[in-house]
Order: sequence, then C-alpha cells, then structure tokens
Amino acid sequence: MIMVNIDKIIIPIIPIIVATVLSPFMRLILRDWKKVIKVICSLSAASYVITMIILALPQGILWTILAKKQPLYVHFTGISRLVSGFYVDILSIIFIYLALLIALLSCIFSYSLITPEDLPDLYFPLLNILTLSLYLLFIVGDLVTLFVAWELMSVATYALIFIRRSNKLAMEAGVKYIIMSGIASIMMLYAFSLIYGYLGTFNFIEISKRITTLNYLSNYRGLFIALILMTLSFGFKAALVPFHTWAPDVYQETLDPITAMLSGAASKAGVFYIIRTYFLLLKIPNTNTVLYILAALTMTVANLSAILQKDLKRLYAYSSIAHIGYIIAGLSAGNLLGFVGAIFHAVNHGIMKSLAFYSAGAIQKVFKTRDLETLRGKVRGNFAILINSIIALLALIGVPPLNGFVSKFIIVMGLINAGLIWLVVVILINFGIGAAYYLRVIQFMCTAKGSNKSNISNNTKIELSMFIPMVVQSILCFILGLAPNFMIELIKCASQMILGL
Amino acid sequence: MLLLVFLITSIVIMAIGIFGLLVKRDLLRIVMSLEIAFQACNLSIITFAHHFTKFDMHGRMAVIVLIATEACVLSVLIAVLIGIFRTYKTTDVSVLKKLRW
Repeated sequence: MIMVNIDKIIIPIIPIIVATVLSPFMRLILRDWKKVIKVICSLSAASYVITMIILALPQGILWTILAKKQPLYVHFTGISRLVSGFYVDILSIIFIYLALLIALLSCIFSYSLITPEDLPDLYFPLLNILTLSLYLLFIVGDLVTLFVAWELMSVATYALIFIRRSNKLAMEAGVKYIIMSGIASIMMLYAFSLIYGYLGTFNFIEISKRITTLNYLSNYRGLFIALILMTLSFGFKAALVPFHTWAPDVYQETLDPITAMLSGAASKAGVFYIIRTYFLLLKIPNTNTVLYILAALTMTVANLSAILQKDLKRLYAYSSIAHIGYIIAGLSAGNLLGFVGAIFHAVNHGIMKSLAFYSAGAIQKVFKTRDLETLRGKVRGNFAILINSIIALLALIGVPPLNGFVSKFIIVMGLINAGLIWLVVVILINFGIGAAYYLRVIQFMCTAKGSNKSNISNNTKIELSMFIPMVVQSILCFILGLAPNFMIELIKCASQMILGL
Repeated sequence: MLLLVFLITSIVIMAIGIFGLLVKRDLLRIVMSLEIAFQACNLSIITFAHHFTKFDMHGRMAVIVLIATEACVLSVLIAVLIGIFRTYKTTDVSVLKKLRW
C-alpha cells in the first residue's frame, strides 16, 4: 500500500474543471454561435488531452503504481479524512484512459452534430462533468464518495439525454431511465448501509480487511443481501438483464456521441464496480453462481432481442448489452485467464462499440434515417462510413485480425480452464447468434435489391470532425487485434493485483 | 432493541417508497417516493451510527454528505418534471409508451 497526497489526484482534472467553468461564459464574449461551438469544443478536447498527458507524466499516479505494483491509497488531511479516501490500481488507470479517449473522440464528433438548439454552451460542460464523474468513479476508495460520484454521473446523464428538447422520444427514454436509476440508487445506498452496519466502516481497504476476519456464520446473510443489492444496482448501470430495459430506449434516442459515451465508458463503470464488489469488497465464497446466471441470461436475452430489431442504433444497443454479458461471463470464471479476457473485452468493447455508434451517427447525419430497410444498399455510396461500419461489425463478431477476436478467445479459454462447459456452450451459441445479426447489417449496407440500385445519392460527404473519431477507433481496433501483447501484459498486471496472485 | 425498532421503521419506509415508485403513475409522486426511499436509507445509516458508538463519526458525516447529494439529484429531477410538463402538458407517465421492444 502506497500512501500519497491528494494533489496527485486533483492536478490531472484541473484542465477539465477549467474548461467546464469557462464554457458557459463563452456565449457572452463571442456573439456568433458557430464561433462559440468551435471555441468550446476545442477547449474541452484540449482539456482531455492535457489530462491524459498529466496522468502519464513520470511523477503521476500511473508510473507510481506501475513501478511499485501495488494499489495506491490517497488520503485527505484534516477532518474530511474521516469520510473520504481514494483507492487507485492499474485497472482504474486502464478504465480512466478508456473513458478519456472516448470522451475526447465524442467531443470531436459532437462538433458538427451540435446545433444551437442543443445549447452547446451547456452540452460540452455536461460532457466534461460526465467525464469528470467517471474519473472520480474509477478512483474512489470510499462508499460515500462512490455514491456522490455515482449520482454525479447519473445527473450528468439525465441532463444529456434531455438536451435535444425537440425530441419527444428522448424525453420518454429519459423518464424511464430516471425511474429505474432511482430504484438502483436506493438499492445501492441500502446495501451501503448494511455494509456499514455489519462492518462499521465505509473505507474500501478497511472493508476488505474486516471481511476476512469476520465470523461468517453469524453475519453471512446480511452481507449476502448487500452483495445481491449491489450487484443489481451496478448491473443496472452496466445494463445486465433484469435491469436492461432502459438501455435500448436511451441508446436509441440520445445523441450519438452521448450514446458512445454511455455504452463505451459509463456502462464500464458498472462492470468496474461489479469487479470491485466481488474481488475486493465482499469476497464471500461461492458467490460466482450469481455471476454465471446473470451472464447467461444477459447474453441470451439480449442477442435474441437484437435479431428482431429494425432500427440500427437499437440493434447496436442490444448487442452492447450482450457484450456486457460476455464480460461478466469472463469474470465469473474466477481464474486469471478469464479475468484478463473480461477486462480486455471491456476495453475492446469500449473501442468498437463507440466506433459502431459513431458510424451510426454518421449514417443518420448523411442519409437522414436509421431504419435498416430504408438504408438497404444506400451506404455503399459513402465509402468512409461503409468501411468503418464494416470494421466495427467485424470486430464485434470477432473476426481474427481485429480486437474482438483476441478477447473473446481469452474469455472462452478461461471458461474452459475453470471447467464451466455449459457456460462455454451458451457463450458459443451466443457468438453464433451475434454473427447472424451483424452479418445481416453488413448485408443491408452493401447489397441493393433490384429497383433500389439507383438509390445511391451523390451528396454523401461527411465532415472531417466525424471522420477523425471513426478512423482513430478503427486503427485502434487493428492495433489491439494485431499487437495485443502490450495491453494484455498491462491487464495481466492489473488482474494479478486484484486477484492477489 | 432500539436498533431493531429503527431498522424495521426504515425498512417500512423503504417499502412505502418502492411501492410508490412502482405503482404511481404521476411523475411528481414518483419523485416524492424516491425521496422517501432515500430517507429510509439515511435513517438506516444513522441508526447504525448511533448503535455502534465506537465509529459514530463516519456515519453522521456520511449522512450529511448523502443528504446534500440527494438534494442535488432532486433539483435535477424537478427540472426534468418541468420539462416533461411543458412538452406533454401532463405529468402522467402512462402517456410515455412509444418505445417498445
């Protein structure tokens, strides 16, 4: 355990805070909306880049942890040390970089998508706040701070769903999301109160110490209820099946950069805290059964629902839920291989799913529709969108040179090593169903039927700001597929730290 | 004994809140139910903090932080409520049924 001072955590996020505070005032200085959007967008993007650079500096938290191979505990001084603390390990750093990368690309993608109607001087600060809350979520070491960061993320998400006020369907999706999110928050808070009641502390390290010394027979039941409540509430944000119904609605109707952010980064917060709950906080024996059942249910239900979809973004939303199911299946194996596969798949899923949502956004911007029947054969007209969509879909299927293959392979190997043959069968059948509907989308994009052949319009140029994020993510798909060694070594280090090997 | 009384009270309040969340159709009532359920959690934490005197400080400070957080969430929820009322001219959530499957 390394103890460091608080400023190592605070300094990296100062650029984002500055960008957030300055952005709403830009409208007063610059009268023209176009100029406002340009300035605010570049300000936010620059702040993300500066944060990434500060985190990677030699004195930053990244190298401190990598050098010592131990989790980092950051403490406040003064009275606030009683309720707060930060717990950082390599896994946090990986997820922070994923969130910052997707936030940066979403910010660039938003530039040509945002109109003055969407209130750009509030949209970009809200995106910053969402990123900030994700940064906080991945490093907190205390249940109270966790709740505050969690609610900050929820609030930023509510506001971002509602930001395009002419879209009535988005409002409907948002209301559903708010009601379910409220139930999840309540369950989480009640679980925290149970943990506090049984163990007498909110601190992660203290909890993980006390739970090993506790007499299980007397206190097992209450902590098991807390475990189930926490699984459900974190599974809500990760869109596991009993709580997945908000996800298709919200992912379908929000703006595309926000969907990429929610699916790529915010749902990873749920996965991250499922990992924290099962492997750090409440290490109760024989609880992997909960994860098997959730994983099998999530994959199957989501994949079967995805076959029926006619809307492109809704189909991607269901496939996103199914991929979270694969991640949870990898975690449930409980050995190093499955764990590495699960975390690597979480990173890959962030990259390829945000690519898929960016390409869907570009399709909607260019062709003014997301309906698969209407899109039949049209996408051929725009080579840039077509090739990026196909890379995203092939990566989601898991075709060898791309990154999806590597992580899916490691997950299946981990499950075989753990002896969970029935789960291997379920997951392979689900890969098959997934391939079926992804290939159907590719078919819809590429082929035209009979009379539709002259449908290709000529006016199909996309803006550079939409093209750059897609190209960056496509290149990352190839890099992580062809040379995954560096990433796997890093993740292996993180997994060993968590599993205590 | 006192612990048990307060814990049962908190569970009852929680049940009232969850019942309201699941059954009521009016968005204002849903927001109110949400707040009731949050207060049940706070009551539970403060009960535990009172019972185990050796670590009371944590629980009490936590409850203050949590109340402040919930107030922030409540303000955003009320903003959402106003937005819904301006768009749909009603706060009844049963009109929101366009998105299925």
